[in-house]
Amino acid sequence: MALVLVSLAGLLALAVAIVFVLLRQGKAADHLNAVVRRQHTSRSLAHQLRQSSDDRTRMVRSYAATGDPRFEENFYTILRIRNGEAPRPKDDNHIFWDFQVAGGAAVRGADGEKTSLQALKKRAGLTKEELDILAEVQLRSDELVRMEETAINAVNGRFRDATGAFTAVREPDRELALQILFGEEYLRAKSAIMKPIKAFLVESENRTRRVVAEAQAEHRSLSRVLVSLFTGAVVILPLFGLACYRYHTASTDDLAGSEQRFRSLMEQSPLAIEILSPDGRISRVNPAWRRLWGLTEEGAAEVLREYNMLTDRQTQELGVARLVRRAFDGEAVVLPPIEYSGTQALEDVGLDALKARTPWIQCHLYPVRDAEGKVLFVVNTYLEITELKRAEQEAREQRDALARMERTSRMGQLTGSIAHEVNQPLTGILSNAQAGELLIETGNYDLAEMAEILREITSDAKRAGDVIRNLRDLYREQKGELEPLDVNAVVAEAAVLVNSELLKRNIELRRECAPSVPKVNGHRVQLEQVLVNLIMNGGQAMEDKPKDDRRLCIATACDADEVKVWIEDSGPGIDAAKLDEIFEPLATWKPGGTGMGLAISNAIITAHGGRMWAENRPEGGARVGFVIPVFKDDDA
Amino acid sequence: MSEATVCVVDDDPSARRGLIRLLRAAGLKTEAFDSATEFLASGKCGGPGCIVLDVRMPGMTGPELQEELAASEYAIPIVFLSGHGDVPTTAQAMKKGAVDFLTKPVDRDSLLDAVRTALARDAENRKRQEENRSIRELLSQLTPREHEVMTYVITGLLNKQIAGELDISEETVKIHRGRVMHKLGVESVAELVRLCEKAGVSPAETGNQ
Repeated sequence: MALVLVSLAGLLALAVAIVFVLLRQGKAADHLNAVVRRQHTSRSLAHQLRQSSDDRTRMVRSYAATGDPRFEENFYTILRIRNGEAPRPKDDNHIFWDFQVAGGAAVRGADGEKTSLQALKKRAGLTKEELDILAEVQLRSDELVRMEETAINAVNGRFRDATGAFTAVREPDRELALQILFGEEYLRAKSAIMKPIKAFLVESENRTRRVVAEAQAEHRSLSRVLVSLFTGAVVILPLFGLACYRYHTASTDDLAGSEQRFRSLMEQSPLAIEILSPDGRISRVNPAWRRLWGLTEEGAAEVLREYNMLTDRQTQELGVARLVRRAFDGEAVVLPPIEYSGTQALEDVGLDALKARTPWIQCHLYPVRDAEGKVLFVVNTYLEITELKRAEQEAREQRDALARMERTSRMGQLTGSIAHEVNQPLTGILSNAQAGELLIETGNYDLAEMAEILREITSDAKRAGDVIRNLRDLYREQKGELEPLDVNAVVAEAAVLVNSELLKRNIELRRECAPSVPKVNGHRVQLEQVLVNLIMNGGQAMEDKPKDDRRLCIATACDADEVKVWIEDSGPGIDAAKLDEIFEPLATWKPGGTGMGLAISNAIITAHGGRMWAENRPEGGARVGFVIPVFKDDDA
Repeated sequence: MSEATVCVVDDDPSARRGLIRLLRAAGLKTEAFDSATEFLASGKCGGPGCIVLDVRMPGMTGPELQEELAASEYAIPIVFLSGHGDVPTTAQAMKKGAVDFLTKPVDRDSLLDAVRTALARDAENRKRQEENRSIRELLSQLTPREHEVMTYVITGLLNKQIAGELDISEETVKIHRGRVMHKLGVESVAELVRLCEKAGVSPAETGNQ
């Protein structure tokens, strides 16, 4: 750009210079012309002077010789013309006068101008020297005219008197006239005219020559300057042209480049980009978009023809239609992760033959506005998170597997206890049944007692069934359903599971449950697992305490938002240094254990939307617990 | 003598009521306790009767109660009933004198046999105790010298030898011996020996031994 401006400036300067030079040249040429014209005029003037004189001489001599009155007439006409009293004929040369005499062509009136020689001289722009010379010529000419007049008048018989006027009348004296006209004096006078004229001409020519030489010199130098200027122009012009061209191509390059860059940006982006017009249709997509959906260019073209995001059914079903609407209204939005079926979308717009992928996507939509704020188009950038989701899924499965493993391991520990728990109601059942038999055998029965026996048997059987079912659930593969749970009930079930184990270890378990707790959304089996884990941990912590000092307390509490459950033991407490990482895997490893109990419990509670904590009680022992958010119906 | 009572000590309500009903159906007198401490506080520890005792209970466990009772003057026989029988517990309980160690759910015959055995033992114990008491009473009637003589008599020494041991006359020995036999109500040395055995009186240590 700078180059363009510089070369342009250079060109302009050159142009100005050239113009200037040309003007100078023009002026010089004009000057030269003027000079030449002047010279021409001078020569013409000089010539006219001489001619006029010669014409007169001829006329007067002819008159003197012939006495023909025509010659006299012409003489006076010439004289009158000389004096500017008559218009000068256009073809004013001696031939004319000959014609005049011969043919008698009248002197046209308005042929030329009524200019006296004086005026002509003036017009010729003569210098003072020239004018002086001409003045002298005039003088000499006047002398001649005097003699000629004398001669003519002599032929006419008129002669000067004392005043010089031709008043004396005498005999015409043609001889005298001829003498005068051919006499020494007359010839001298004629040559006397010629000399200044000649001098005048010479002077004029010299001057002209000088001027011409100067003019030529100047012309030459100006020409040289002109040439160099033109050379300069010739050099700069292509430079200018090049600069212009480069600039032009640069800016068209810029424009083309900008367009190209934009296209490259779209084409090479690894993210799928979709440009939508305000009516909801797709106007442009990039290769990454085609890859995302698994469409060919033709397929994509068909989609662009038919699909409309604002009326798409799947978008509504997935619950993101409102957010999409907001983007089109002018607000940048991020959609939550959704699993979108390309094939379904295609079917919904009648493109049954096409198939597309069903990725997990997270869309970022933002509107592009013009200066007035009107939405020109909406850009949708897709983040494909299928892999991420898959990884999440795997992680979840692994976590579940790990939890299962821990459960299994734990359940292995508790099997004896479970057996014990089941044996209790079984004992009741067996004893009751056999009591019934015995009563019948001995005949000591009554129906009321039998009924009671049967009721008790039924109740015990159910109890045994519950324990077994609980155990079965804990061993089961699936994680079970999410359901609203009463935490107190879960605590009670967990207590049953661990009851025997605690008895074995002489551990007293006290329950201090809040009278009523709001329901939480969770997996019963998993929460039981957590509780069992916490109880067993507490129990283990008190291993070294005397048998009558092993106290566990499990408590529940709640507020509007959360339900809190915690276990307190009367053990030595948790090593303060380990308190921070107690929920890390293997932080609490003991021989025979997995070391994963708390880590898994933490994972379970976190997956329930809650959190676990652990702290030491001021009165000694540890307190470990969790909070879970209350199940609020509008979460659904 | 009050009737022998079978005391069922078990914290689990299902097991407890079933057992009670069964024992009652068998014609036995029963009483139920839901903890060892309740049983101890009841004053039934001395019987007559026996205990059907659960092993795992909160607070005082079955074996603990067994120890507690063993430390007391007289403990009624125990039939252990466990929902979870492991060898060490069983062995320990039996070594400490339990009548039997049964597992839940318990079959009627097993239970009743064990209970009857326990009751029999209790009766046996009681009888022996009574015997011992009377013997002791009798023995208490002996003078120290008589007692001393007695201990020599049951070694089988002749009167003469006894006299030598005790550095008293044979006659004195004979007199003491006669009085002992009379007071104790035995007619032969053999009886005396048996009685002393029962009473736990040890024979004297003589130089011959």
